[in-house]
Amino acid sequence: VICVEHGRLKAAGELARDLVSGIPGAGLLIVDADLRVLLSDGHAPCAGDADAALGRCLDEVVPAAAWKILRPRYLAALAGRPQRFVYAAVSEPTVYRVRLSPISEDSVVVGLLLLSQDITAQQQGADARNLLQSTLDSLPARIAVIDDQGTILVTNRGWTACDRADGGSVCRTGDDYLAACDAADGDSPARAAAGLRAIASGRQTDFAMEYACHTPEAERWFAFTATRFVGPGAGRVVLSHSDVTEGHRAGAEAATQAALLDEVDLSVMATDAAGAVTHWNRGAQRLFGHPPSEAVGRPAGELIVAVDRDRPGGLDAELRLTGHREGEYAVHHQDGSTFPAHVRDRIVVDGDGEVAGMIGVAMDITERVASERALSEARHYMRAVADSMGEGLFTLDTDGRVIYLNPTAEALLGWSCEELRGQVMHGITRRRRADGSPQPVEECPILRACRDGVTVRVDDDLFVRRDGRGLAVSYTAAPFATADGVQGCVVVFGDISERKAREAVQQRDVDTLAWIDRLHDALTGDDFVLYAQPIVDLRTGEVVQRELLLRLVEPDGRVVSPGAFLSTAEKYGIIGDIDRLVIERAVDLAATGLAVELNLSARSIGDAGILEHIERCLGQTGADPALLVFEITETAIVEDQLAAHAFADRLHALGSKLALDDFGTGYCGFTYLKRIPVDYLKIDIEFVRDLITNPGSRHVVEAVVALAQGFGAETIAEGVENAETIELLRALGVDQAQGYFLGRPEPVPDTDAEEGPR
Amino acid sequence: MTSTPDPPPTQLAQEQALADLDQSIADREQTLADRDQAAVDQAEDQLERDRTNADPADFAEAVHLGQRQGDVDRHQARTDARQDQIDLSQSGGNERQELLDAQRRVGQPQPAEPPTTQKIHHERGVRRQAAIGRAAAARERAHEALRRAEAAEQRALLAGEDDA
Repeated sequence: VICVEHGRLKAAGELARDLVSGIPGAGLLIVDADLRVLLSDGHAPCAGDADAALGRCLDEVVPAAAWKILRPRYLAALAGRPQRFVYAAVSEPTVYRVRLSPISEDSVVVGLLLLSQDITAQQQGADARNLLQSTLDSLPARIAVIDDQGTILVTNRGWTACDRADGGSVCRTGDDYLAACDAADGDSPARAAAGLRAIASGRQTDFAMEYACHTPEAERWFAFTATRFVGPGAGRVVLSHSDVTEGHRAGAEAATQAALLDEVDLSVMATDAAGAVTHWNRGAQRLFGHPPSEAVGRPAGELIVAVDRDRPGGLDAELRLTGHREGEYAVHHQDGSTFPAHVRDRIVVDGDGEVAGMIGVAMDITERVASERALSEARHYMRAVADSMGEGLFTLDTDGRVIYLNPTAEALLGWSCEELRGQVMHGITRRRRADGSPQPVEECPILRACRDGVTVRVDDDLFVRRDGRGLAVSYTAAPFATADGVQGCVVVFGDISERKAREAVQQRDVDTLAWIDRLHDALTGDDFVLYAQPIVDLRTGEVVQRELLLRLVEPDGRVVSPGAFLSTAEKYGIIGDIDRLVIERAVDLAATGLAVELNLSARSIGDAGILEHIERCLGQTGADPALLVFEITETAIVEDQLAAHAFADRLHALGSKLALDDFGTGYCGFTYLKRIPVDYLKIDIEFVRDLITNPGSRHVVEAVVALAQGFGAETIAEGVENAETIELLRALGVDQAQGYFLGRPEPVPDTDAEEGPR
Repeated sequence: MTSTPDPPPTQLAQEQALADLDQSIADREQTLADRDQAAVDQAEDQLERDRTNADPADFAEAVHLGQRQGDVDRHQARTDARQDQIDLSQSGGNERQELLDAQRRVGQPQPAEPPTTQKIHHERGVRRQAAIGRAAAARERAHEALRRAEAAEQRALLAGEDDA
């Protein structure tokens, strides 16, 4: 501390100026407590012109920007605190080291002494070193600079950190690095030393290699690089060790992935953001023909080209917008051929969301397309077959729901395929029960084919058409299966209505032939028998005659009614013989005194021989013709009225009578009654059965009775089954009646009849 | 024969008896046809009720109703055909009766047969009443046929709307 009087302060300053004047770059400034310049040698920072500054306050002399920095320093010094600092001039590239000391007198600061040293050159050198060191320290690699002898001159923070981590085994500044390399084991140190020496000697400018440094804990890889040091000083070589373990692993992984991609039968390619190919695997080469060496670097759109140009190529604007693209296209091979491919492109973005490139995967789908085409053709073929089939065909899934109907099935069932698709077929083609409930699906043979996977053949069944009509069908239901099991069944069915009709005709023909033989046998074998049903006079209640009914006794004793064989007998001319047989037996019965009615066929009405046969029988037996009533039907009369007329006349001439059987059912006008004399009108059972309940039937019976009265005939009601009917018939004026209530048909007894004609 | 024989019948009386038998059989056929038609109408009404109560989404039920409708329609067609046959027959019967009536008018009076004439007058009145009854019944059947036709047309329209 310089302690002087204020008056002497300037003198002391002069002395100080002399002291510092010999020091290069030194400067001096003295101010009083009011910061007025007392002395300045002109070299102190911001002091300006020394003479012009004298006596003026610093805030007037020092530029404002500099004073803003320096003022706190001066104030602190005035407070008694010496200041040491480095000051970089604001307006000039000069750096000062400054010492600002208070000048006290009696412990009172009376002024300040500023001594400065221009350290600009020193500062620049330090800055350069610091910059170098900072630069080296900022690099992640372990870096050192060695001189031409191999001595380490500088290391960075990574190097020293490695040294600490390795327990101080790494060379440090001043150590001979080349000697350490020479002393180390292994090939890598020797190679490194050789490279370093080559650079140090100027034979080459750089050297690089990669080496492994494995420990029991981990496997690590390093990249060693060395380059010529071009800076000033003794440094000759800059060397670095970089941990490339992650990169090495990534590279190995990428190589593995690339190898895998090469193995897969897919084309995999990648592009950069500009759309140029960066990766092109072997699959891509196989698919498109271009080798990787030719593909890499070219725009993807030039390599994968759609035949119809319908596929946008490469990393275009559309792909950038949508992010992905997928489709099937016909594309070109390098050799000019084309093939179908499934192509999928996807944008790859970086961490900032920017498009970094694209990845494209393509697959040759030639086989699949061919399979699909074959399948489609097969399907079309099957459809064509199904459409042209004469049989109906429908397919069902395992739930029995309709998948398909062919046109024949549509026509036969009355439904269109569209209407039934997805519906359960069972409820559509099966008639419901009488109570309206559906037939149990478990009983459906078609569903059994679906459920059990078995083929079911049904020769005679009934489907129901849309309009409710029955459709006689035969069908085969067969399961269709895939590798996943039974998928449903296919049903092929045919309309067997005509077949059944033909079969029925054939069966009838067979039956007819059998009946022809049987009837001939019966005639010769005496198998025909007569049954007699009593006819009661409603006025007296007595049996007045009996209707003879023909029966055929089979060898097993079974009795067959004429309905089973009469049509055959009439059609094949056997009826005449049967009629003759009946006439013979009837006349025999009449000869015993029994009044009987016998039925004659229409064919016999026109047979002149029949009347001769009757006459002959009567003559042979001596029977009373009046006990014989011959029944013919309205149909027989209408078929040949002349013959009927003649027959009636000759019959009456013989003394026998004629009855019209089943009267009222022929519905043919009855005018023949005006020409043909009839003795009995036999009212058909149709009008008698519901006589009590149907007024219409009652009116018919009344009309028949009136008609009979008008023509002098009597009436016989057939099919009487209760007393109430008998009473009503009697009230209506009906003359006679027969039916189960009055007496069932019984075999004609062999003995003479007890009742005589009444 | 009846216990109180009538006088010998004339040819006209025989013709009338034949015509009466024809008419009685025709009337009976008409009665049976009416019963049949009533059964068809009942089935149609029941079907309509079932259709109203049916779940529209139940396809199997809709199929069943459609099949029942087919059955009813066929039954109706058979009934209509039978009715046409009866009507045709009735036309012939009417013409025959008109002819008989005309013959009878030409032949009157027949003093030799006063009782029969009286009876003929009575029966003519009966037949006239029966003819009037038949005409009324025929009108009723025509109305019913028209109602059925309109109902069938309405069903067809509704079915068309459902399909649309």
